[in-house]
Amino acid sequence: MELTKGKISTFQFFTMLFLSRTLTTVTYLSSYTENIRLSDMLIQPIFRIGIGIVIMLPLYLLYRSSTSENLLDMTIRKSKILARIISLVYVIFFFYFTVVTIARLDLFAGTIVFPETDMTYILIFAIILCCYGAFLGFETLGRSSVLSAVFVIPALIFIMLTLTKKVDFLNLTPIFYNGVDSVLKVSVDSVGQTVEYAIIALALPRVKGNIKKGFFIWLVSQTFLMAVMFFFACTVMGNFASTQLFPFHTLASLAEFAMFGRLDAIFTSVWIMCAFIKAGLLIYLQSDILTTYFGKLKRTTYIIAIGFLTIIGNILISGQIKRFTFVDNSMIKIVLTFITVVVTPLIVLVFRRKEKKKCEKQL
Amino acid sequence: MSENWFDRKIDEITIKDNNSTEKRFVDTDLQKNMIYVKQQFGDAFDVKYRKYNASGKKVYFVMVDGMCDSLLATEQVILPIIEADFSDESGDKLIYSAADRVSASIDKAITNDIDEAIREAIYGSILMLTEDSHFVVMFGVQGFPKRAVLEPSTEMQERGSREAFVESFKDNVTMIRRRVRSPVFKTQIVEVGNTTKTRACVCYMSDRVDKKMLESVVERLKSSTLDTVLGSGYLQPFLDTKYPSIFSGVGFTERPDVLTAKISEGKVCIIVDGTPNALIVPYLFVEHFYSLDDYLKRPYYATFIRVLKIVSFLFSVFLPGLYVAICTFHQEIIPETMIFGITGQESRTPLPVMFEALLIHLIYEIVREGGLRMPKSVGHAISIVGALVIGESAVTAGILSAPMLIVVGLTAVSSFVVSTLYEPVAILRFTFIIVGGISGLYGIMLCFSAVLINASAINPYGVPFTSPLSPTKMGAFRDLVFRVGWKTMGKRRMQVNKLEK
Repeated sequence: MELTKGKISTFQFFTMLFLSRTLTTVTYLSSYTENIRLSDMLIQPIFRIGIGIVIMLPLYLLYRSSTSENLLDMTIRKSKILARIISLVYVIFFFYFTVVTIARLDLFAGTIVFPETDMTYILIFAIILCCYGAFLGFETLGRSSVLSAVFVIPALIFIMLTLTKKVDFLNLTPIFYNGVDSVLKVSVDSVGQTVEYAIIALALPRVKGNIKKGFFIWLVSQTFLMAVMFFFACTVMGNFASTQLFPFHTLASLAEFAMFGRLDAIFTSVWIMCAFIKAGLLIYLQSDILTTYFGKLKRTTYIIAIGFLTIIGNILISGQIKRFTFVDNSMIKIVLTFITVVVTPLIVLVFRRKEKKKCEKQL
Repeated sequence: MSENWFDRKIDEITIKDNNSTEKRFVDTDLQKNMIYVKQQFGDAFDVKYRKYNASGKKVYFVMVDGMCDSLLATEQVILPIIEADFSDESGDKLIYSAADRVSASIDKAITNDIDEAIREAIYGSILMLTEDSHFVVMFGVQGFPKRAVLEPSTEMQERGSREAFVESFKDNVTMIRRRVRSPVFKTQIVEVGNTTKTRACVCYMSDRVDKKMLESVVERLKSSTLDTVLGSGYLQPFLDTKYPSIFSGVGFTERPDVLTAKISEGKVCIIVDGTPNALIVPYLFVEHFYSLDDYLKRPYYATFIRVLKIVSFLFSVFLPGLYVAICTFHQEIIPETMIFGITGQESRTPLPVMFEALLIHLIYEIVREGGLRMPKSVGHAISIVGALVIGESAVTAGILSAPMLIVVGLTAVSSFVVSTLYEPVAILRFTFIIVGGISGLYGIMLCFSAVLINASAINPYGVPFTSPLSPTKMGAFRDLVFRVGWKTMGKRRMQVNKLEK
């Protein structure tokens, strides 16, 4: 299809990743940080940047060796079977995050917005729309992410601005109150929830422009957003935040502007727009991997199949908090992220080095 | 025979288009030619055949009465030919000589394709056939009735010109020529419609148009598989994005000054004979919020008007849906001072808010459509029925609530501020009402995201519909929501092909 091939700009790509990461930030669950004080979360993004840069090193080295290929393209020349195994790992990883993204939306809607409503049809509707987004392709997703950002960023700024008069610095507690270990653990957890690194690993060759600059701005901006969000959550709500399932939603519901209260509707809008882009992108990547490296069926068929499996996965989780807690597990995410972002690129890197040495010897 | 059941059903009631491209040449036997011409026209009462002797040679004139200016045909074509001396000429030589005898102010063309000659005769040319010749000469003496140039009816401007396109494409091209006194303005004629052979005139400026885009436009027009083309709207789907979308990447205008502005940005416009509207490709989303008045007024006021248009567009799309969603699911958003009034009013109506909104919007669309198609003299009656009977009485009777009526009123007025987007806006409004009534703000946001991505997919000529917002072109921001003054814009003009991904 004319719309799927071709490159997108760095700005569009990192905007897409920014929205994807914003979703992870705004859907932050208090259950992740049971043993940590919220004030420590202000310092956590800085640790996160450090860890993020370190784990991205293999990917960076791989990208430097060839800017026009992703790691799967590099592997397929060496071994078709290995390329297929790696691509399958990525598909599972992206599928898992698609299910979790929709499941969080479902949990939020099912427990906070419409506690008495059966969410199944909204869930199906949402997944169908995400599949539609994936069907339209990478370029279209890139373009629409910039348009979505035009709504998302001002909406978040507006919510924060309306909360400024409710900031109480007495709610801040000394940082590292429970030691450095817990902050480090939360930072690792947070990195584990970052599917964007794996997206970078696969999609970077389809991005044109100054990638280093784009990556740096993305890293700083998402860290800044996290810090600001946690700052407001901490100073406005204090310890009350840790009693809330979705603390940032509670924070937004405390926002007031003139005679309008309960600005959580705006927050929900931000959430949905980001979820749409993120899930659409993940489904697209899965279908793209399957078409390129398995390629027996059309991309549309793969999208329908992935959509169908996502619906089934989410229906199984919907309304079952135990199942959700099991699936949305930090350890699973950390392991999967480690495999896709560190282990796999390292394997490919070793292969490439060997190949290079072999070539040099032959010369 | 088609395999598909639905295709077979279509085959039962349709016939294949007559798209035979076989050429029929002029025969040296005049009688044969005349028999063929008469066969083609049949018993048409308005086709005149006149037989003369020109210096002893048999000459036939064929013309369609009503399409030709009879006086011009007689005085400038027939008389000079029959009075001329052709004693030394015959056959092809006579045809060429006759063409030379006719005044230079008359369009002349010679062809050996008899079907082409017949098509020209239908369009107001007078044909001359003679013995032993392989050619027909055609004289353009068109004199069919046409509408005078009037004021625009849908694109009113306060300070712009008062001219609008008419049905005759030649007059429309003339209106553009008057505005562009430069040879860079070029036109190219493409015939569309297998039966109607309608002329589509592709207009562009050769020094700035993207050649690939121009080729693509001409190619798409040529490949349009239509039997009849009675308006520019017939060609719109062929020029638009291949991907189904609620928005269109093809714009239209009835103003020659707007068309001139568009081609000066490197766009391609298509004027279709018989339609007082020209098509513009590629057409961007932001252009729906521009008008010529923006450039004729002070920049700060133009900016204000553009903001107003954006707000009106958002009102016309979202207001009813949001009202339904908030009243049904998110009452906490409504300020305390308003909630009692709205709840009180809504509780007195028999229908749920969503159905109430659907009903009133449906009634509004019926009234609007009725008002559009009715004679102007009856239009006032429609307004009275709409305002008093449906509006006031329905509220008094407790069928509709007053806040809902306010929402509809505001939506209706807002939707006409950006009139070129009326079609998608009307459909989206209904969609958002239904989605808002079923799944609240959730559904609305999901649907909005889908609409955004749908609009982002439009990219028929390599220039995305959402450009210059996405892909972001900072240079274009000087004339987006804010417009800088002419002194700052200076000689630099926008180039549409530079807005590509």
